[in-house]
Amino acid sequence: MENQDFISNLSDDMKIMILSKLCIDEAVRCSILSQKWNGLWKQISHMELNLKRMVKPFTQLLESRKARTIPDFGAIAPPMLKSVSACNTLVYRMIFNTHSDCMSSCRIKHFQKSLAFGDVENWVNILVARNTALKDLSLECVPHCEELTDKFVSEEYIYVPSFTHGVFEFLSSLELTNYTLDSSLPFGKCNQLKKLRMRRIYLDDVTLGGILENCVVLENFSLLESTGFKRLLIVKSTLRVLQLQALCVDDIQLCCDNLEVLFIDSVICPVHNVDISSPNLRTCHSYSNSMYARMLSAETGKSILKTHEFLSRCSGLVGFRMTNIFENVSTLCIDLDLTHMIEACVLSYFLKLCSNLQVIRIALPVFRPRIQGSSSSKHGHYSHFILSLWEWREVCKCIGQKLKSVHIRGFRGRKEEVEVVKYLITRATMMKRITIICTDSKEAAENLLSLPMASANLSINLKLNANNPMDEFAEHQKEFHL
Amino acid sequence: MQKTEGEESKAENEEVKQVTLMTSDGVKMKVEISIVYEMEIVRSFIEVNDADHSVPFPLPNVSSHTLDLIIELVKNEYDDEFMKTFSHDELKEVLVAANYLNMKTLLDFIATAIANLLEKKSVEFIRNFFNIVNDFTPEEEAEIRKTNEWVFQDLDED
Repeated sequence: MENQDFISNLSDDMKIMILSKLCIDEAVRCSILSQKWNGLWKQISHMELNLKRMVKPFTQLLESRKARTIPDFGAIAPPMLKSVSACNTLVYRMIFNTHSDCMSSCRIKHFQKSLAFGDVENWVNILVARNTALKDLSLECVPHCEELTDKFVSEEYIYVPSFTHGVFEFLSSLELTNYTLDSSLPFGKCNQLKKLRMRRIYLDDVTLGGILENCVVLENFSLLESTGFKRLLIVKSTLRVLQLQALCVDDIQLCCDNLEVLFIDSVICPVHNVDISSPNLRTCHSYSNSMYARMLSAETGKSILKTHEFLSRCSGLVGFRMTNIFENVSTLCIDLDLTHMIEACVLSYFLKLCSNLQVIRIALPVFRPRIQGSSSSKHGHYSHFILSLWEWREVCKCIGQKLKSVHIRGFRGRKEEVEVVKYLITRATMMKRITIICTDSKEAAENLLSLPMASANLSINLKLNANNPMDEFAEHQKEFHL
Repeated sequence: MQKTEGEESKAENEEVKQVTLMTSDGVKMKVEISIVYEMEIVRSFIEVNDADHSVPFPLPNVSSHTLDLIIELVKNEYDDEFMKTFSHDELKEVLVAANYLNMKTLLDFIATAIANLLEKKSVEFIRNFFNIVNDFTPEEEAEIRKTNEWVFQDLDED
């Protein structure tokens, strides 16, 4: 049994499904395996085109090939390399070779220079015109391959793609990475697009506004690491999921009645210019302490919108706005410094305002300000205040009736942190699970196990995991791809 | 009063929590409803028929061993490491069963895993690994290599 060729004997549909997971060059190469594989790639449902791999496909083998003689790639490589135009031609061939009714999604990674003669725009035109089933499109411009020696186009010039008016009309999902957009015209008639993800895009306020206006049924919008605009103004009742990451703006105004999931990470904006109306919000993520945030803040010289500022502003805790967007929120994922007086204070009052909160995930800061000498005594003074803050806190509806699960990362056993957990264990009647990821040692957390529990079936999980900035970052990113 | 209400709803939860499945080798297995719900074929049946969960749902094409593996995979949130312990036979069985049960996430996961096995490997390596017999005539093979020349460049030596 073990020696049978099970993979070739799978149905064609399943083999095509496997081929659809591969890069186009790998999928095409499988034709050579046996008759049962020959030509199957033409029916793939997803086409992954990466020009970097087209330039020199032989590098794929570096990993699997046992070093009989280590090939001198310096010597072999130059004659093998294709010019960008040869690769561009190859892309056309691949597009025309696939069956026109099978492909439902396509991802293209191309070079800056593929934009020089309008090839990218042409591929997109052909793809949408030819592949009637195409619903998902992802385009990414990648840095140029340094070995290429086309001298006829300048390295410095920034190519602005000029996609055809209304070319995205039939798509339901579009992802654009690393472009400058100077017009919203390609988004004309975009009345099927539900998901739009823009990463590293340079666009101005007019273009951004135009895009949002054109996408009339947009449900899921991500704007990441993008620049060029000053205001973020989104009024959209169709929107359900919104992700904002690494942005720098003067004001944020969101009016999205049906928004269910909001993700804000490393955004620079004065807190008094943040106005959000989303009465149906269910899940909220807010991060301001990540590695990203630190990089962005250092780069721009401006300070990040802190999580506690965002929470207190949008819950109506401070400021003139009295509406609370967290009223129906059931899942809250945030980073906070519980040893910081204001942040601890905000959390304690904030919990009172979230009467439907069931799941809380708190990431304690990986980067902590060093407390030394005089500032330490000042801190000690506040510390006393923070402790009493939790000790005497009355039980609110959230803690008493709703809260089911708590997850705390980066726990260092500081007494302010311990006090919050103690408060939750002894008061939260409905809590089923509390997970504490300790950074240094489990010692302080182990003392928590002997506390009288308010909930009859609570399980306390302690884990030890020194959180380094990269892990923390990866964790946020994971949450990000909801 | 409040307490009794709580207990009642809890008892209810417990009742709907598991569904009994009957595998091809006649083993009755109680499976958590959250896992069963990933099996479109069972799910649609349960939903349409408002089924009595005590009657085992027959799965004539899935063995108890395969079902065990599937349950473990789903429970472990599709753990790559766990799947690497599968034999080719088990992999095939799970794939065929996932297709039959119409488990989209699992199918996707396995297809990706197999694609990863194919990726960045030489043709000879793949043929050996999966026992694929090259049934092309030398002429046919040369023809395929020629039409798709670019993907075979510098790969031909083995």
